[in-house]
Amino acid sequence: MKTTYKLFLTVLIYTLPMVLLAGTGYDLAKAMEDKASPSDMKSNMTMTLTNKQGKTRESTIRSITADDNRKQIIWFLAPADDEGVAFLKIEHAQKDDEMRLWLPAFKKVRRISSKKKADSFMGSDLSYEDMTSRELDEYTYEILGEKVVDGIECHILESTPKEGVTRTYKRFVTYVSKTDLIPMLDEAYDTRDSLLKRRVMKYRKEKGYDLPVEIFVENVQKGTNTRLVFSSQEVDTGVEEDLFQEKNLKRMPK
Amino acid sequence: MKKLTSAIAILALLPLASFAQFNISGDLTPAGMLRISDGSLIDLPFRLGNVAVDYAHGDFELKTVTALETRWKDPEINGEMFRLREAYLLWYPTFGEVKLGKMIHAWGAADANNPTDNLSPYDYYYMFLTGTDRKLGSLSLAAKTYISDFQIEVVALPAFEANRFPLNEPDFPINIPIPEGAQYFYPENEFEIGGRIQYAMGIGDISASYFKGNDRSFSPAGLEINLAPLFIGGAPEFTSHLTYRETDVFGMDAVLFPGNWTLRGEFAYFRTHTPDIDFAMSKFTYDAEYLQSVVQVEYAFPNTVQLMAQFISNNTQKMESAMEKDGNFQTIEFMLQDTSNHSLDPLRSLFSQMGIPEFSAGMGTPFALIADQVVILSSMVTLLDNSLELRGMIMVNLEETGYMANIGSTYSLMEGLNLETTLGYFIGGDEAGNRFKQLEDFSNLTLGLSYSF
Repeated sequence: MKTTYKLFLTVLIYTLPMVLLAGTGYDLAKAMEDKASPSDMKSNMTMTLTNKQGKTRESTIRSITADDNRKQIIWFLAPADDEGVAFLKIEHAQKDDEMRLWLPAFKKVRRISSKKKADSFMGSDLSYEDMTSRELDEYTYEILGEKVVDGIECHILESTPKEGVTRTYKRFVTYVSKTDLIPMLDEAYDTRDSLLKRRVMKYRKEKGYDLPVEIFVENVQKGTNTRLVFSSQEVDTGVEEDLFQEKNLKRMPK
Repeated sequence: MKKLTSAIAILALLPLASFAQFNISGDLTPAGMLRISDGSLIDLPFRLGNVAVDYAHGDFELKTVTALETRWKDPEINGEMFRLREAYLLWYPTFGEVKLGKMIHAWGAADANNPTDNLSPYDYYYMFLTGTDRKLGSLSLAAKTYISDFQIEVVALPAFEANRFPLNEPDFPINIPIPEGAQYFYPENEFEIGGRIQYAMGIGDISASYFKGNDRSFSPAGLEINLAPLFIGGAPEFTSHLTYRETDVFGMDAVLFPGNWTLRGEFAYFRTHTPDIDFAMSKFTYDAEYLQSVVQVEYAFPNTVQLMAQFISNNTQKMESAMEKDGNFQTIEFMLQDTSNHSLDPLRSLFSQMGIPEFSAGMGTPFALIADQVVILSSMVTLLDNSLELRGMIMVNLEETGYMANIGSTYSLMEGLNLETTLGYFIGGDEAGNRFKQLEDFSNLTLGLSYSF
C-alpha cells in the first residue's frame, strides 16, 4: 500500500505541471515565467562563432545578470582586439530600455538604441532582441502539440507578438520540457514566416534551478552558428543594484 | 639616485603585487602612406604600436599607455621613440570614480567631431586616426559620481597643454601659419576646470557641460619690431607673438532615439578673449563668441549596413578685435609719415600691409581648422561573415569647393591580425587659400597591419 502511495506521489509530482498546463498556451507561458529563477547569476562564457566556411572565432565573456535577466552586464575578456569592450543592458517597465557599450579605444560609453533589436551582438548570431526577456503580456500563445526533443517530452508552444508590439520576429515555436518547464529548443521565424534561427539549450540543476550550460544558436538562412558554453556559474550571490552602472563597464571583473 | 628610488618603489609594491592583478595588452600597427599622385612615400610619423599596462589592487587601478612612434625615413628626427601617453591612478569609491595623473578625456555624444570635448588637446600628427589615438594626455584630477539617473563629473587640469602641430613637416597637408622665429607666450593662469552633468532618460541621454581654460590652438597676439638693422642698411626684424586665448565653453549634447533612427547632437558656445599681457610693441586683442555644432543621424539596416550623416558648423557670433600700439610703435609710425625720406619706403610698405590677422577658433572640433560648414556621409558594412569590414565616407565643404572621399577596409587574416587599407582622396577649388586644394597632394593610399595582443 505504501509503495502504491509513493508511486502515486511520484507520478503526481512529475505530472502535476502537465496536468496544470493541459490548459492554454498562456498558462504554459505563465508557468514558465513563474518558475523559480536565480535572483542573480555570474558566469563565464566561451562564445564560439562559426561562419559558413566553418571558420571559427572564440571570445571569452564574463556576464552578470539580475532581476530575471532584465539587468545584464557583459565584459569581453578575449580575444585581444575585443578585450575591455563591455555591454550594459537595463530593461525598464515604464520607459525605453537602456543599452550602453563601453569602447575603450574611444574612452566613451556609447548609448545605443534599444529599438535596434535586430542588430547582431558583437557579430554573433544573437541579436540584442535575443538577449532581452520576452514580456509575457506582449505575446499571444498557442499549444501546437507535443514532441520529444533530445529524449525529453515537450509541449510545442507558439508565441506571436500582439498587434502593436514591434518585434523583429513574426513568431516563435518553443519546445518546452513538460517536467521542468524550460525551453529545450526555440525556433524564431522572420517577418516572412521563414525559419531564421534555431536555438538549442542544455541545462544542469543547481540549488533547485535549471541553469544553462550551453546555448547553440544557428542562423539557418545564413548558415552560421554561435555556441555559448557556460562555466564558473554562481547564483544568488547578492549582486548589488549599483553594479549595473556605467562605471562598472570600465572596470574589468576580477 | 633615480634608479635607487625606483628599486625601493618596486620593492615596496611587491607585497601588494601578490594580491593584485596585472594585465598587459596592446597592438602593433605598422603602416605606410603612399601619395596617389606619384606613389611616393608620405613621410610622417606613425605609431608602430601601443602597450597598455594595468595594475589593479582592490578598488585601485594604475593604468599606463605607452606608444612606440617612428617614421620610415630618418626615424631619428622623430626624437624619442617611446611616448608615455597616459599614466594615471584610478580609484573606485562607492560614489563613483576618481582619477589622478596624465590621462586623455573624452566628452560628447557625437562620433569623432565633438565641439564640447576640449579637455584633452589634439595631436595633429595623428589627426587621421580615430578615438583617443589622436589626442594627448594631460595632467588632471577627475571625479565622477552616479546619482540615480544622473552622472556628474568634475575635471581640474593644473598644467596647460596645447595641441601638437606638425611644424617643419613638408609632407603634412595642412599649412600651419606660423611665422619663422615666432615667440610663444604660454598662459599665465594654467589652471583649467570643467564640469559635466548627464541625465539618462528613456528616450535618450542629455548633458550639459562647462569648461574654463585656455585655447588649445595658438592665435596671433602681437608683433615686435627691431629697427636696429635698419641703421646698418639692413631690413627691420619682425617677431610674431603667439598666445593662447582664455576661453569659456558652454556645451550641451544629447542622444535620442526617434523610431529606428539615432540622433546625436552637440552644441558648444565659446566666449574667448586674448589675455591681458603687455609684451609687444603692437598687440592684437580679440574678444569673440562663436558657436560650433554637430548634428549626427544614424540608421542601421538589419543586414549589417549602417549609415551615418553629420552636419558640422562653426559660426562666429561676435568678434571685436583691436591692435594696440605702444610708444615705440607710434614713434615709428610718426617717422614713416615723413614721405620725403625714401630710405624708409620698404618699412612704409610693410607697415601699410600690417593689420590684425583673421580670427580663428582655438578650440572645439578640429574640422573648424579647415572648414566652417561641412557635411559628412558615411556607411559601413560587414561582409564575408564579419571577416571583411568596408567603410565609405564623403565629406563636402558647403562654403567653397572641397570634397574628401575615404574608402577603407579591414580584413581579418587570422585571429587578432587584420589587414588595413584606406584610400583617401581630396578635391579642392581654385579659390585662394582653399584648404581642400592644399590637401589634394595628400590624397593617399594607406596600407597597414594591425595585430592585437
